[in-house]
Amino acid sequence: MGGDPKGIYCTQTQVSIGVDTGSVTVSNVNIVSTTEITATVTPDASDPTETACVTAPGMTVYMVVKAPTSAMSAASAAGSVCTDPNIEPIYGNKGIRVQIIGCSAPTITDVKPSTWFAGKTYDSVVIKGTGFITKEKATDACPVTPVSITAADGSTVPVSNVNVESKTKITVGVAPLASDPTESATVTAGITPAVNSTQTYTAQILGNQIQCDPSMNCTQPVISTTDGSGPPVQQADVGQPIILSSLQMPEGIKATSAAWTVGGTKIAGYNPTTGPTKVTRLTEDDLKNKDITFYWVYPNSAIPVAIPVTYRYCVDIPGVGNQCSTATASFDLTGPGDAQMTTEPYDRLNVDMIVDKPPCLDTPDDSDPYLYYANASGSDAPCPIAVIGNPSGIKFTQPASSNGTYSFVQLITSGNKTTYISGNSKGAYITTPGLDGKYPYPPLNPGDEYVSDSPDVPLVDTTIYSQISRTFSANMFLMWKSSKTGAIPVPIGSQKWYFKASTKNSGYPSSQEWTQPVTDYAGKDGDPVDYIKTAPRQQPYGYPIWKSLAGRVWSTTNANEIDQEDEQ
Amino acid sequence: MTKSMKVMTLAFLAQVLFAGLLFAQTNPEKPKFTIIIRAGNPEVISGSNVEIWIKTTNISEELIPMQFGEHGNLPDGFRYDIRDEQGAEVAKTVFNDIRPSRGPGSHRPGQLAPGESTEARALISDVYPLDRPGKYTIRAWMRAVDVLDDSESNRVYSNTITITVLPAGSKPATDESQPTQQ
Repeated sequence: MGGDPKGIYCTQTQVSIGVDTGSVTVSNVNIVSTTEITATVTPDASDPTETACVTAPGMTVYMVVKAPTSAMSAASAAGSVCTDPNIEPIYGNKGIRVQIIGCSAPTITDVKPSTWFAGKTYDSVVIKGTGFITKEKATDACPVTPVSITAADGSTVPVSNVNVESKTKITVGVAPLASDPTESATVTAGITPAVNSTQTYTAQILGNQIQCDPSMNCTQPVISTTDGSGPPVQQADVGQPIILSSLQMPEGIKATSAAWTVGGTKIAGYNPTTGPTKVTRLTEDDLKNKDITFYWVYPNSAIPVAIPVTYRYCVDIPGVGNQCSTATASFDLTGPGDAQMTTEPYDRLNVDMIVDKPPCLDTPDDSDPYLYYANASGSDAPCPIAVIGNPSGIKFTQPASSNGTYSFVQLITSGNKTTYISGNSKGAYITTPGLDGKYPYPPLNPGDEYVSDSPDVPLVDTTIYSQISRTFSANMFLMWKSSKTGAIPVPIGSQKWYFKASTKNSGYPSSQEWTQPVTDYAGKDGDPVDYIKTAPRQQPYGYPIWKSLAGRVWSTTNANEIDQEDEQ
Repeated sequence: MTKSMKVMTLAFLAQVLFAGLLFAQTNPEKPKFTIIIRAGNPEVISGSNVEIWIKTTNISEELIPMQFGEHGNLPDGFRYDIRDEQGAEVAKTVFNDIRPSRGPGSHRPGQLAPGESTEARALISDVYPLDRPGKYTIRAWMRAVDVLDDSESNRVYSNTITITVLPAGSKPATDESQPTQQ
């Protein structure tokens, strides 16, 4: 505050007012009478709440200089001179002390709690500091200290029930909007924008949002709510990458727990190759990451109930305790519908003459007998090229799809072997289970909406055989892949099929006269035993998995087993 | 000219005409497809499977016939030129049991679209004796045109790769190749 008055220089036509740091501007001095002077006094805005000395030679002056109410600007102070009989003269007619009434600059030293979850209401946030003006101390010039909070993006954080309890304590209700992101906020106490009349303090708003990756074309980037209201339902396809993120925790803030929950049947990945192929599951660690990417395998049930995704985290807030916030998003999943593949199995195995040596000329010398799961019609061999696109083995046809593509995957299952007997010699090719050929199982012609298989065994070789048998079993999967970017295939259905056949060479050991085989087969479309519409309960979620390509291994060590099983 | 001479002459002309047709179809300088092979593992221990992958690409502007099937552990349609370090051709394995030279499989005749590729695995150690330590060069080939002609002029060869067979008990310096991404 002001110290001793400075020396005052007065004349009959002048009034001077001095403060410890300089002079207060005085103008329009008017000596009305011998007992009264009027003047315009303009306190400097930078000198609130000062004492000042008013002098006028030979006169007793009663004056009070009022500061502006909102800002100590010279303009607003101009003309605010009035007399005040309550001001006691100190120096008699040599001068008086008057009070320049300015609003003191409040100082915020602490805010508790200073961390708030967006979307929640904190009824009693305590602001401590100095220079607060209570209701009792408030004047027109200096009202009750206001409190305002501004989020980092410039938006106003709602406050309520501001109560300036003392010059060092304010309580206030704070309710950050749910839409406020995780960011800092500025707590301001005092009259803005008066210089030196406000004090700011940085607090923290902890938002919780689920944000959708732009590649997903969601309705908006933020697809969650935190207040219990229903979030906007997002449309997605099964197999489409669901790429979601949450907000970055501010530096220095550590969540006590954080986790995603994802409804429905979901996986972390499926990357089919000719090598080991498995389904990657979502792990607990995946669900604890800030961001998450996963794939749904099956659409929601027939009743269109949206599938929820939540992200919940908790923070131990000093002064409040453990606080948690849950953001909820919602998805409606679309798949290819209920369409399934159709299967047209062949009904037997034949011993047919097949041209397997190019060229495709109708030359019987180029044909050999095969044990054939198909029909090579006619007495001569059908040229392979002649049956392009029209194999007579088993045929799997995909349904129509408008928003994705189908593909097939065939797995050779256990129990496959081809047994050769030549007199007393025996041996077998054992087929190790695995992927049949390649992924996906290719159609024979570009654009075909079906695939086929027609297993066979060449019956003629350098050795003349007396009997050959083949046991075959496979499982054909229908997969569907959404046209959405980055989509992975999802399983739709699978059809097991098998056959077992044996044929004898009555011309052994000198010629090739093979009998029509004894056959057992299966694989009819819609067979309740063999056809499976894939479902989440099938491990792993109905997906085909394999360790390697199926391969054939020659074995003579299990001859007894072969004898029992294949000799007829 | 006797009747028999006329018949012989016609037969000869027919053969010449047919040969000319074959020659016209066979143009390995302008094949309709390419063959690229890669080793499943360029270094293998003696006695291990020797696996190669054969990728065929239709570089023409038309559909070409293609066998997608396999027999034994070998894709249909391909043959192999395998040589040891001295350049000697490696003959096929002669088995001392009743094992067939061509195992069970599946007939899958189809067509390959222009620009498209298909890749298949071949376990060539099933039919070639590649268990003696050393380096082997391998090529695969297929007839350029589907006619009964195995002459050089009707062959489309792949690139040549080298596979090293290490003595039993050795440790290959390379890891197994990555599975094919389809």
